[in-house]
This record gives sequence, structure tokens and C-alpha cells, in this order.
Amino acid sequence: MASKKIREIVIAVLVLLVTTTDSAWALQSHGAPEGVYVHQIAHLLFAGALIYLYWHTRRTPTLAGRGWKYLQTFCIIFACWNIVALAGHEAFSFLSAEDFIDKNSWNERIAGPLNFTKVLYFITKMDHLLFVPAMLALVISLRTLYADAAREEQK
Amino acid sequence: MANILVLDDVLDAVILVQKILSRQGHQVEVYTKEEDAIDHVASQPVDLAILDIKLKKMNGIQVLAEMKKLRPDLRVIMLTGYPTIETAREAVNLGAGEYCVKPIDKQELEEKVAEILAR
Amino acid sequence: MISLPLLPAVIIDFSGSAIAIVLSFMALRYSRLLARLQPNNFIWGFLFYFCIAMAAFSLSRGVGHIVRILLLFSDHNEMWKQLSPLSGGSNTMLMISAAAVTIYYHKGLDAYKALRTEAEKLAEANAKLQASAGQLQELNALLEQKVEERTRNLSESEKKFRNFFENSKDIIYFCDKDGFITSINTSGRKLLGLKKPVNSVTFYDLFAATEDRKKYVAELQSKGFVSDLEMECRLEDGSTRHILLSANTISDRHGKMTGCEGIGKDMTRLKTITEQLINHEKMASVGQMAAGVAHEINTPLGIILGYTQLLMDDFEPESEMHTNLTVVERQAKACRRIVADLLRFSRQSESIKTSVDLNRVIEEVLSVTEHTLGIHQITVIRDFADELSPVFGDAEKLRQIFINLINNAQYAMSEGGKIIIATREDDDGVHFSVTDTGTGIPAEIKNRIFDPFFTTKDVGKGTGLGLSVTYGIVQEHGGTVGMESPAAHSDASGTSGPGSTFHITLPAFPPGTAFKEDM
Repeated sequence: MASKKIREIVIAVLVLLVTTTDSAWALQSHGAPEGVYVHQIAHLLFAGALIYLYWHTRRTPTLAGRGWKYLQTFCIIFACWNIVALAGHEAFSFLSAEDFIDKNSWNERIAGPLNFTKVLYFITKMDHLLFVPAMLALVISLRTLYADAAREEQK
Repeated sequence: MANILVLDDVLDAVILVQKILSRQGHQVEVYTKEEDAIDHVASQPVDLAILDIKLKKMNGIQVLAEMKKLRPDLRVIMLTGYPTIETAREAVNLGAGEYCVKPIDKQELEEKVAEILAR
Repeated sequence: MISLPLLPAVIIDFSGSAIAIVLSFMALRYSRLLARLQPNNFIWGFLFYFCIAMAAFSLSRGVGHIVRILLLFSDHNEMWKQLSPLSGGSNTMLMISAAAVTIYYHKGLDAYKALRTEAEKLAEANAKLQASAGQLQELNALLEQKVEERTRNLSESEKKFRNFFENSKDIIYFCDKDGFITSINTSGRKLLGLKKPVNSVTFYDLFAATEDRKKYVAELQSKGFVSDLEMECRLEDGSTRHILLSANTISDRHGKMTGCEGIGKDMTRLKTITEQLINHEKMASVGQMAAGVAHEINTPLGIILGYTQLLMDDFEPESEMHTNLTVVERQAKACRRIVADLLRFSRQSESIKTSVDLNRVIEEVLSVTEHTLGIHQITVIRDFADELSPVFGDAEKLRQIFINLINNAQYAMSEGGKIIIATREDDDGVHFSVTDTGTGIPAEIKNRIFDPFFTTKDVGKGTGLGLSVTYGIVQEHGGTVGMESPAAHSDASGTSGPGSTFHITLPAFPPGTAFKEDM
């Protein structure tokens, strides 16, 4: 059931994306609002799924051990990242070209006066500060799980 | 006519012998007690002693021995109700001349006495 | 004017994207290894697919960001404008995919967990079953071992008891409730002389006396056992044996008698020996008593005789008084003879034992007695062995034996007859026999002829001590005496009666053998 739905969504998105274009911003944009909405919903969905994964693994007694703890860490961080990305997209949608100086160059700047949105945009652009640690957590988690499983198999 | 001494612990028996032998003309002294008989031998002339083996205090053989000590040439006839080889041998060794088995036959006794006195 | 430089953000964006891609593929690698290691683990499978999604997403987004930065910063805006939706869309799709995988996992995990639980339960049940099976096998093996052991023990035990049953020299028997013999051991069969098949013999029939039989049955029924019952057993050939019987009943579970089992000891020989011993004791005590009495009597007897003889001298030989006294004298002498015989009988005097030639002894006796026998019309037939080993004995006493036997023979042949004296030798010793052709000895007194004071003669004619003295002398010499009537040798001539034969066996005395005191 879910896979069918996903397929529908994906096709819809692709169709939408291909058929609707808009003026390109300096930053990555999603064109017509539908694409943006879908993207944002996807972030929410993803965050939700990660929270669910976190909650379920904590709740399941068989999934105990350091490996799973790391996975839970990954879930939390990555869920946060999704919210940050979501916020970033939202913030960007409120900005216009006037808010930037020397756009698309190494000297790119955000013009003052600074308001909440501009600062938010600036912070959220550094989303990889969450993304990478999350991935690191995932890697460590899997490595630990693998090591444990390998040890068990040897027994 | 001889001096004969008879010793037996049963009175009737010695009287009988006395009667038998006095009819033969002998002088018969009778005793029932060993000591008296031995004393007699010691003090009186005796030609023949007729002794019973089974006596009250001493054994007839012992009496024989005593008497023979006193009078070695004394002739003796032993009377016994139970002749055994031992007693016979012993008696003979001590010098008993003859040996008579009780119950005594009168004739046998008379003959034996006559015979022993004749020796 | 304050402005925020975006350069740090861009650098972070650029490098972060690259690092993220690398990390995501590392994660993917581990998840793949994991899934390969335990292919049946659903969770590793889920993680693998999740990592695929994450790797794809990281790749898509990372590449997108890097490309964007490169294109925008190199003034390729238009190109970016074309690519941007694709990148964004791809990102969206992959995010949704990842979320979907995660949500899918939920349903899967439950099912997986349920499956796992069931599988574990099954595995547990299986393990338990195996354990049980293992235990069962062990128990079985143990049981088999025990059964083998028990069977072995039982068969050993059975063998032991069967051997005992068969080898016992006593009678061991089993009867059913009607008294039929169900099982009897070899000794029993032999002792009882059973020739018929055993089941047809009733044990009760073996009882010679009905009171014994009644007692046996009664005690079995009332007490349940019989202990040391002495009974006479009548065998098939008619002879009797004296048996000591102990038996007990066999009952079934309800206590009803189903049969009986018992042991019988043949006491016949013992009884015979006991009787002989008693006899011997009797004789010994009689002897001792006799000796005592004899001694006591001798003295007054002597005096009576003496005085009688004295008195006789006082009367004329033809007078009545003298005649009467003669009678008294005669009777007193008779007493003397009796006493003398008695003493001789009881005497345990030492005999002088030497090497004696029996033939010579017999001749000595015959030389004295033959003449008298001849007067009584009795002829003596000699059947002597030429070579006869000497016997170790008292010649006087042996002479006594012959005198006794010859006297008896003479008495049995009042009309005359023959006396046959035979001697021979074999491995058992020196045998001699005295046979007469007289009246013989009737069956009812055969057992008693050797008893002291037993005589068939009239009063005053015999003391009844002759044969008992003979018996005593033979015993002293270590021999045996026996009697047969009718006689062993029968004579064809008309005047003979059944006659009797007396056999005596004495041990031979080979020259050079050392003297034995108790011989």
C-alpha cells in the first residue's frame, strides 16, 4: 500500500517538476509552490519517520546495545536536520534578490539590516553541521552492530 | 594240727571257715579287723593265714605284705571274689601260696589248706 | 551596513556534502556486510535498504549542492536553472522513500518479531523434545542394562538354587494341593526308590503309618508347616525308611493352599546306629549293675554254700536230711555259676592279646568238647582254610566264643546232628562259622538272641549270657558277628532241621604290624 502511494507521489512530483519551471533563484528553489510544498512535507515526513524509528528502537527490548544507541542518536540528529532544512527553505522563500550582495560569488553576502529571517537563513545554510554528524552516527552505529554480530557469529 | 588265722570283714564268713577248718582239727583264730589280725601275727605263732582281699580299711594285699614282714615264712591263702591277673600276680609276688575264689567250696578249701600245710 | 558573509556557509555546504556522501557509502558498506553476515535477520535487511535510501539521498543532495555551487559560482546560472528541479525532485523522492522504508519497517518488525517468537518457541520445544528424547534413550539404555543385570542375577540365583536342589543329599520335594508330587530332586527319587513317573505318586501314600500321615496333613492345614516330623516311609519295594520331615504350605495371593514343599532327611541309618548305641549302653549298664550285684551276692552265697556243706557232714549220706541238703548245695552251686558267668560277662578285665591262630584255637576247643559231642550223637565236620592269617586276640576269650557256639549248637540238636566249623580268609578279614543242623532260630527271636539274659533254655539250664558274652568278645576284638537261620549250608541228609549258622569276622593280624591298644 505504502509503496504504491510513494510511487504515485514520486511520479507526481517528477511530472510537476519537469513540467513546471519558474524563474531560477540564486539558490536552489523548487519552482511552483506545489513542488515546494511537497518538498517541505517530505522533510516533515522524513523527520516523523526518524522520530518513529527512534521511539520504536528505544521501546523494543531486543534492540539493545551500543549500536542501537548510536542509531537512535542518528535519528534524533537527522530529524533535527530535517526541521532545520525545512526552516531554511521557509526562510529563503521570504527573501528576495535585494537581500543579497554579490550573489553567486565567493564574496556573497547577506545585506543588512539583519532581521530574524536573514539570520535564520544564514544559520540554516550551515545545515551540514548537523547532516555530517548524523551520518557519522549512522556509520558508527552500523559498524558497532556489525562488529557485535560478527563476534556472535564466531561463537 | 596248725595255727590258722582267718581275716574277712564279714563275720559269718570267718566263722564258717573256722568251723570248716576246726573240724579238720586245726586251731583257728578269726578276725574281722585288720589291725587285730596283724597284731596276732606279730605276737602269736601262725602257720597259715587266710586273707580276704576286699577288706574294710586296708587292701588284703597290703595286709599280706605286713604279715609277711612280720613273719616271712608265713603261708597265705588269698580269698577273692574277683580274681584279676594283677592281684594274682601281686599276691604271688608277695608270697601268697594259694588263691581261692569266692564263694568258697568247702571241699576245695579243705584240699587247698591241706596241700599248703604239707609244703 | 552589517552583512553576513556567506562564504563559511558555502564552504561548509561544499565540504559537508562531500563528507556526507562518503559517510553514507561507508554506512551502506557496513549495512551490506551485516545483511550478508546474518541474511535471515530482518532488521539488518531493513537497515540495508535504509542505508541505500540514505546513500542515494546523500548522493543526490550532495551532488546537487556541489553542482549548484560550481555552476552558480562559474556563471552557469541557466544550466543550474535546468538542473535545479531535478535535483530538488530527486531529493524529495528519496526523502519520501527513506521515510517509507522506515514506516514499512514497523509492520515488518512486528511480523518478524511474531515469527521470531514462534520460531524460538519451536526451537525451544524442539530442544526440549531432543533433551527428552536423549533422556529417554538414556533411561532406556539404563533399563536394558538393569534388566540384563536382573536376568543374569536371576539366572545365577536360579542356577544356584537349582544346583542346591539337585545336589542336596536330602529329599526335597514339591507337592500340589492333592498331595501329588510335582517336583522332587534326584536324591529324593533315589532314597524313596521312585521308579514311576513322579506325578502319579501321592506323597501321602508314602506314609507307612496312618497316624503319621494324619498328623502331617493336620499340621499342614492348621499351622501351615510341619517341623521335624519323624515318620516311617514305605518304599515301592516294601522296605521302610525312617524319615525326618519338615514341610510348609505354598499359598497363593489369597492365602489358599496351592501345594506344599518340604525336606526329608533319611534317618534310617542314624536310627539304627542310635538303637545299637542304646543297646550297647544298656548292655554296659547292665554289665556294671551285674558286676555290682554279683560281687555283693558272692559273699552271702559263699556262706550259704559253706554252711550247707558243713551241715551235710553232720548227717548220714543216705539220710533224708543229707539228701535235702544236697539239693540246697546244688542250687547254691548253680547260683555260683550264674554269678560267675555274670561277672565274666561284665568283666572289663584286660585280656592278654597275642597273635592267635584260629584253627589251632578251634582244635583246642574241639579236643575238649568233641568227645562229649560224640556222646550226644553229634559229628563235627571241619572245613578249615589251609593258610589262615593270625588274629590279634585273647586266646582264652576266643576259646570262650567257640565253647559258647558249640554249646548252643549242641543244645539245638537234642537228637544229634552235625556241627560244621568253617574258616576262611579274604580282604575283609578272617571268617569262621559254626553251623548246626538243629532246630534253627525262629524269626521273632532273631533280634534278641544277643541280648543279655535272653535264653530259650529252661530255668537253671542256661544263663542267657552265652551269646551276649560272645558278642562282647567279638566287639573287643574289633570284629563282627552275624547269624543266619535257616543255615547257610544245608545238608541233604534227612535228620537235619533248618539249622543255624553263626558267622564271625575278625580282622587279620599280619605279622610285623605294630600292636594297637584298642584293636
